[in-house]
Parts: sequence; C-alpha cells; structure tokens
Amino acid sequence: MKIKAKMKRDMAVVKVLAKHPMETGLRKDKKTNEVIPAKFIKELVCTHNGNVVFHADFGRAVSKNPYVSFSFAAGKKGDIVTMTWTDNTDETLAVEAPIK
Amino acid sequence: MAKNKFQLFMIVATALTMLTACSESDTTTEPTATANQNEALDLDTLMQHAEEARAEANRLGFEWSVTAPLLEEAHAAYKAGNHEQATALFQEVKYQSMLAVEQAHYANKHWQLLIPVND
Amino acid sequence: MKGLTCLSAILLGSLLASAPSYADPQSDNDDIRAFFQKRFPKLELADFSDGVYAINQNAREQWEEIEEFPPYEDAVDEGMVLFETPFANGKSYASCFPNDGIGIKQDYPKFDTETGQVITIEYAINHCRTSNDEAALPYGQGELAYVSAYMASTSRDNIINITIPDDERALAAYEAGKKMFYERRGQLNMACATCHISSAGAQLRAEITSPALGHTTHFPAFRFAWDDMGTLQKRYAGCNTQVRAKPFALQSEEYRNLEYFHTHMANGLPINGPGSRK
Repeated sequence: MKIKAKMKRDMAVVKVLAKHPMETGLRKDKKTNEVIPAKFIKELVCTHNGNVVFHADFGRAVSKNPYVSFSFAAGKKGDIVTMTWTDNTDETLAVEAPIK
Repeated sequence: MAKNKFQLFMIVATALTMLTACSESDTTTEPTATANQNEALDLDTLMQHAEEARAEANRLGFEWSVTAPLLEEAHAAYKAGNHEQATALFQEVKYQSMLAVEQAHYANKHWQLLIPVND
Repeated sequence: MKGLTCLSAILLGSLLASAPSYADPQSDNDDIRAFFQKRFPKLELADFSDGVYAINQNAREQWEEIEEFPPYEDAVDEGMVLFETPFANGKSYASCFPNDGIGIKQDYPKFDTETGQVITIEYAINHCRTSNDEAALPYGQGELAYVSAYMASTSRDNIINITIPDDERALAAYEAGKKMFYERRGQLNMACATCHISSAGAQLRAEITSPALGHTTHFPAFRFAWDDMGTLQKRYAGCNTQVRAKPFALQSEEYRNLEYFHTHMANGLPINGPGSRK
C-alpha cells in the first residue's frame, strides 16, 4: 500500500493505492475449474491524531488495487496519517505518512 | 484538386486510362458465390474449397480471426458424423474467406480513400 | 449501368490521382497534422503525446490521479535491473546500442540498410540477446517489455526523429506500413484510420478513440486491461483481433512496417513513455 498526504490550502489531501487482488470469489481457475477463493478488502480506515477521518466499507465489486483519494480539514503539515485495511480473511495492513 | 503541374498531369492521364479501361469488361465488387451454390457440392469438395479459400485469405493477410475457430468446429462435426452441421460450418468458412479475399482486393485498390484530405 | 460504372471509375481515378502516387512522408505528416489541428484546434502539437487524455477532461483527471502512483513504476525498475545485468558472456545490452542504450528510443524504429528491414527497439533488444547467446524473450509483454519500458523512461522528453534513408526499400517499407494503416480489415471491416483518424475523439462503446498522431510517444504502456506493461505491437494484435482480423505475429515484417509509418507520423513530438492506459 502506498500513501501520500499533502496540504492543499487548508485541507489535507490523502491519496492511497492499496495493492490487493480484490478477488471476488466468483471466478474459476481456467485450468483446474476450481473457484478462486475470495480475498477482498472489507474495510479501509484512516486515522489522524486518534480520530477517524476516513472510513470505507468495500466489497467484492471494487476492482483490484483500489485507489482512494480524500481530504479532511483538521490536518496540518507534519501530522501523521495512518491508513489501515482489513480484508475478508482478516488480514490487515497499515501504512502511515507525514502530511507534506 | 491539382496542387501542381505533376498532379494535373496525373489526373488527366488517369482519366484517359479510365476511359480506355471502361471499354473493357467491368468486374463486380461483390463476392461471386453465395451459400446456396454450395448445396450442390458434396461435403468433401466443400471442405476442400473452404480450406483453400481460407488459405488464400491468409496468404493475402486478410483472414478473419473468427474463421479458424469455425473451421475447427467444422472438422469436429465432420469427424463426429454430423454432416449437416459440418456442411453449414464449412459453407460459413468458405463464405467468410471469400469476403476476406474481396476485402484484400478492395484494400489494394482503394486504401487511399481513408487518407485525410485537407481542402 | 455500365455508363454509371465508367463514370464512377473516372471520378475514382481522379480522386486517386489527386493523392500523390509516390511516397512523400513529409507531406503525409503535414496532411495528418493539418487534419488534427482542424479537428482539435485547442491542442498544441506536443499535447498529442497525451493521446486521449489531451482530448477528454474526465479521462485526463483520472489519469492525473493515477500518475500519483504510476502503474508502470515497477516495470521500469525491473527493466533497469534486467538492462544492467550482464549476459552469461559478460556483455550487456549497452554494448548493442548507441549511447549505451540510454536516451535513444526517439530514433526507433530505424531502417537497417544492411539487412533491408525495419528494426524496432524490441526487435533490437532480442537481436542483442541472440547475438550474445541468450535466448530470445517473447515479444509483447513481460521482461522484454520491461527492458523497453526502461529504455523509454531514459528517453523521456526526447523528440521523436524517425528517419527514412534515401533507399527505395526504406520508402517501400514506409509505404507498406502506411497502406496497412489505411486498409479496412477484419469482419468488422475497419482500418486503424477509421477509429484513430476519421473518428478520433468519438465514443466507441465506453471508450473515447485517441488520435493516431502521438500514439507511439507513450509506448510501451501499462494497460489496465493487460494488468501489465505491454508493447505497441501487442496493441496492434489486440486492435486487429477487436475488428476480427487475424493478427500478424509480433515483430513480423507487417507490424514493423506499420510501426515505422506510425512512429514517423509522430516526428517532432516528445517521448513521454512508458505511459499508463486503460
């Protein structure tokens, strides 16, 4: 997962590219004819100074490697933003970046 | 239309050539066979025609991507003894290939038509 | 009926005669540019390097967003490693190319007067491999595309400069490529020019067709449809299949000639590859 955060006038703009297969669980392997197990992000949460500034509930309809961009008001230069995703297999990953 | 003397010459020369050519017989640009004509052929001859037509289209570089899969299906139907199905499929392969060959000849003569012209 | 056919033959002949019957690549470029400048009057010549992103605001915004995390980054990094790793015999790609292979993409494809054929950068990459006892890589995508992507990245901002030597074989190759570009083919009976000149900027199902002018500046490209870096000729094969024409083999004479014509069209435009596309 890659993250960038930048001040744009008085808003902090955060951009994230989550590298995730977002496998729907509805596809079959062409060779074995077995269903490819579902693996997709269910939740994306971004926190700043202990507050949730972004929350998304994703599902199987979101494409591979989802890209998210949002802005929030309370941030300032130097603050850390932390983005965490959790998927349907309970795997989780977090990245953080300072606001530039 | 004529930007310079060379082009004016070309227009006049081509016009004269066309006039001479018009006195000879003209060829139609439509495919000269339809599916109906194949009813009279036996399946083996039809299969041969289909193969040859496809090979000609391929040689000219204009074979359609949808033709080879149909040919495979035709052979499979033939092997399975389903002659009605095989006939229909070989006919389709032959017809597609003949259209592709016409397309190649048309392209040779008229490909310049799509070049943008600025007036 | 015959009289009408004769008349149309004369008119057709005149029409054909008004297009030069000899190859004049420079005036070909002038005509195409005049056409596109009329079609998209707000664009500067260099803008055409951005393809569809220069003519569609919505697509441009999405592209600018994704450029924050360029999808081609990994391919370029991998390409650099592949490019710099020596072959088993100790030599490397640098030994096969002018300027050690750095910043040279703007000169490709070239016409090789020795062998009498068009050489694309991908063709040259594999030729380099086989001349140094390495196995050729599959054209189209994967490692060969990564090496090409790296070489394109080192050539960014360089101005495309395809030369056609004073050799009738070179001119013939250019003309063959030009013919292929304008020929209608496939069950759908469409030419490259149909979508990318006549109907450039039109909506084709969910896509906007890009102008042919500038196509080659941003290849190889990471296409989301491929989920990988791929070469220009891989796209040729894809486009041919989409109009239901049997594609030619990648790096066949037909496709190399087409690339020669197609890239010459972009002379004077800056390289901005590798790019990302849908």
